[in-house]
Amino acid sequence: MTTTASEIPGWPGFLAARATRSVLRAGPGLIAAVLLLGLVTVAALWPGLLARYDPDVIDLAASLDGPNAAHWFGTDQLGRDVFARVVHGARHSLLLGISATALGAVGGAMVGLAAGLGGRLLDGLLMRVADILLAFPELLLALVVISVMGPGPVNAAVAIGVAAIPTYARVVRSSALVVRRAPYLDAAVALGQSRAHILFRHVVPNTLGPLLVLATAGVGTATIAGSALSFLGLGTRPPVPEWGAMLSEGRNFVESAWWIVVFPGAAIAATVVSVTVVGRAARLRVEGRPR
Amino acid sequence: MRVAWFLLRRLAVGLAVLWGAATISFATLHTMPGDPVDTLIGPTFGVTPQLRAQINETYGFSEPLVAQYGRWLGRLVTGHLGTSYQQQAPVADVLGDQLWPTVELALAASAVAALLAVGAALATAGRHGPGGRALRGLASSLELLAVSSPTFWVGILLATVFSTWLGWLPVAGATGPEGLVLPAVTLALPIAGVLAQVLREGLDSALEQPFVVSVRARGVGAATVLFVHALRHAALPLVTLLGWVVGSLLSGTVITEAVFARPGLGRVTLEAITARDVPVVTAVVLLSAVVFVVVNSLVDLAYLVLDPRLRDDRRAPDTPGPPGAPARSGRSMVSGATQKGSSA
Repeated sequence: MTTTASEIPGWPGFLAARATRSVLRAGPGLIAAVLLLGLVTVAALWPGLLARYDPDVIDLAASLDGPNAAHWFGTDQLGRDVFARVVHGARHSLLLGISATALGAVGGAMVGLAAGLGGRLLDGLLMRVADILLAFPELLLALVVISVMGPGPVNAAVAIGVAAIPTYARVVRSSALVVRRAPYLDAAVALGQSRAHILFRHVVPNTLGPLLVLATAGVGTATIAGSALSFLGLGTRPPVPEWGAMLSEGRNFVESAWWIVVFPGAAIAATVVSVTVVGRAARLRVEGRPR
Repeated sequence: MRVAWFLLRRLAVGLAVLWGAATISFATLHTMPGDPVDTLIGPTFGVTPQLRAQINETYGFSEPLVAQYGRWLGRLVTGHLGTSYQQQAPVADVLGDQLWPTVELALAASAVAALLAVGAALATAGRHGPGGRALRGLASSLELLAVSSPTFWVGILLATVFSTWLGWLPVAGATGPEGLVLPAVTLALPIAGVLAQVLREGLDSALEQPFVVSVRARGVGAATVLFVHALRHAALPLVTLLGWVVGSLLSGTVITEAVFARPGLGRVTLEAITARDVPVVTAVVLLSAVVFVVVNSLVDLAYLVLDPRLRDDRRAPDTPGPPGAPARSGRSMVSGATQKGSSA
């Protein structure tokens, strides 16, 4: 008789108890948010699991049908299934938001580390530039970047990411300044560890927490900004089923077919709400504040 | 005396920010790929080399970048913003014509946001009974929804319900005060969401302060305490948020004006960016930098007036931003400089 992991006494029970405890502590809002994000992730990775129809198949005979048993979210002006388009749109909208945030966070981390660990001159220069850039609303910065690079989904992600760099740089710089003066860093230097080892083993992990918290909430903001750029015709263009692009395409039909506009917008709002709720929980956890 | 010195310092910092913004935007927009002449003429064919040379001559595109920068900065100092490529009119005129509709929209939206936020916070602050808890939960959820919903979606929905279906308000494109209602509400909702959260937090903490107990002990009613004493206490953090509010209004108008087909700066900005109209884009960037400098100076000045403790050491308060607002919101230029000074 073989012993499987589930037969080891204590181990699964411990895991189950721990899972139950954290679920109970999480509260219904956080649980709903995590479940919804899971659903959106499935939609982004394997849309075929959720949607039966092809999002691009045109069926003019069935155009502008209201929500029904066959088409849960109705059909659009070309008879395409709105539910399938919303599900398939998750990939485009999330990709825009996540890649923009990743770019902003990585760029901000590099600038922030350079400012926090570098000399006074570099720090002063970088932070003065950041101060000036922080004077502008992020959407305006993104629009200026787009006017240089031209419209398109990749450029929209780059624009939003670049616009967010100063914010991330500030946060990373201030935690780098704290880490720089921490006793464990003196210890590492005294032990004769190499600079690269100190940077990647000590400095980066200890500045990562605040950055990750900010980035989690940042995905929500970036997703809204990305869909806004697509709505304005500067990001992803129709017929790609990105949520903002679907809104700009469908708004002319909203008088007779509310479902074309309601569902893609609700998808954005639900995603951003969930990201914000999870981000808040992450922040409370990192900051160690009791709920 | 201290205030005069403060203002002088702020003027210097403000001018430095403006110069920085002008330089960064010049550098960015002049490294744009492509020939500016093509942008200027638009998609027409058969541009003769003579015409091309003439345009280069008029606009000075063939000069070295440093010379162009110097000339442009010189004109800027004397108040010349240049000529719009697209409209062939002075940029100052192009923006000046569109200034009022946007200011009108922004003012109306601020009023709506303040009203909603104060109303929501007063209705829910300090209520810890079962009914109050439910009300607070509802208000927080609505605030989260307002902050998380894309402006363009809210705008389209409001226009559909109140103009098309109910017919209460004119459809998009209308002028006059009725036409202002829906755009103002659309622009105000996300701002109101953030302000209400901050205000409620402030009211809750104010109601726990000892001064509330002593005011109550003097026989002052609960409502008066809430409306007069606590509200004044809680309004202070809102002053810090003013810069963020103005920034949100600025970027919000781009989307709101597009949704409601309203004239205004946001629309001009969008058109200029699509058409790569460099002088107009630069002017918009400079205008928003001016607004930022003015607003932040006012915020810091307001703090000096409202909180006498700050007059002794020149540290501006560095309150953390509210949930949902970007991290920069609570930080003014002066406190940024102080952070730097204390950490270096």
